[in-house]
Amino acid sequence: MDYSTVKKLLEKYWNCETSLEEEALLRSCFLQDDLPHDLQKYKPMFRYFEEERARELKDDFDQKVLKRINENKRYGTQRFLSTIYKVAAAVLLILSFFVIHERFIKVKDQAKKVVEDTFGDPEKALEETKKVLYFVSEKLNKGKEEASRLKKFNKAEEVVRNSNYEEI
Amino acid sequence: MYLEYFKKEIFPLKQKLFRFARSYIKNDAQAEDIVQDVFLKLWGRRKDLSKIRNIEAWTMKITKNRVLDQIRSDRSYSMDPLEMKTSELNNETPDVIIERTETQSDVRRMIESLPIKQKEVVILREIEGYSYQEIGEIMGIDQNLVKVTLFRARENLRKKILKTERYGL
Repeated sequence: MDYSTVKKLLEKYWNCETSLEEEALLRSCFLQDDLPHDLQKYKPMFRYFEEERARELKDDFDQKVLKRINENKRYGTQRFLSTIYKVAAAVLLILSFFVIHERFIKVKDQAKKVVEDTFGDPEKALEETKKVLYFVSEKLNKGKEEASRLKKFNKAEEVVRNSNYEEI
Repeated sequence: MYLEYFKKEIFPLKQKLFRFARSYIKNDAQAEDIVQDVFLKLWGRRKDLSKIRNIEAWTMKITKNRVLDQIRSDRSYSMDPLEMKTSELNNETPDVIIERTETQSDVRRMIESLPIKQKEVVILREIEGYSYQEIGEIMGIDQNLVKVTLFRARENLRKKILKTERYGL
C-alpha cells in the first residue's frame, strides 16, 4: 500500500470514520519498518494495540476452570446433602418431641382415669381398702412368723461358736 | 448438557475477557484469576445463560465489575512495568528492546492517563475489535456516544503523541 493511502486512512481513523477492517489494515501497515518519518511517531501506538491483541491466557486455563467447576459441583452436592441431613434431623427432633409428648399425656390420662374410675361410693371404697389392708397385714404377719424361725438358726450358731471358744 | 454449552459458548470468550481484565490490572496472574472467577460465576448461572441476548457483552460487563471490585479491594495492583513476552524479544538487540519497551510504556501511560470512559472505549475498539454497537451494549451507552468518546480518546492520544515527539514529554 502506498503511503498517501495510509495517510488518508489515518486521517479517517482520527475522525472515527474507518471500519474495523480498515483499522486492521492500518495496524498491519504500521508494523512495517520502512515507514516515512512523519508516520513513525504513530508506530508505537499501533504496535502496542497489535501486541495487546496477541496477549493470551496460558494453555492450562480450560483445565483449571473445569477443575474448579468440578470442585464446585462436589461442594454443591455436599452442601445439598448436608442441608438434607439438617432438615431430616430437625424433622426427627420434632417427631420425637410429639411422640414423647403424646405418650406423656397418655400416661397422665391413664393415671387420671385410674384415680377417677375407682369407687364412686366412699363407704364401699373404705371397705375395699380395709380388705386390701387386712390382706397385706396378714401376709406381713405370715412373713414375720417365717422370719422368727430364722432366729432359731442364729441362736444355734451362737451356741456352737461359744462351745468352740470354751474348748480352745 | 450445560457443560457442553459452556465449552461451546463461554470458553471461546476467555481471551477477550482476559485482555479486557488485563487492560485494567497490569498483572497476568491476577487477570487470569479474575477470568476464572467470572467463569465460575457464569457456571453458577448456567441455567439462565441461554436466555441472555448478547452473552459476550454481558460477560464483558461482569468482567468489568469484577475487575473494579478487585481494584477497590486491592489498591496495590500494579500499573507499572510493561511485561514483554519472550517470544516477542527474539531477534532483537538489547538496544532495540529497550527503545521499544520505552515507547510501548509511553503508549500505555498515554492510554492510562485518558478519562476512564475514553480508556474503556479505546480498549474495546483497538484491542478487542468490537463494533460501536457492541461497545454500546457492553458499556450501556448509545453507539453515537461511543463514537464521540472514541473520537475524543483518539484526539487525546494524537495530541499526546505529538507532544512527546516535540518536547520529549
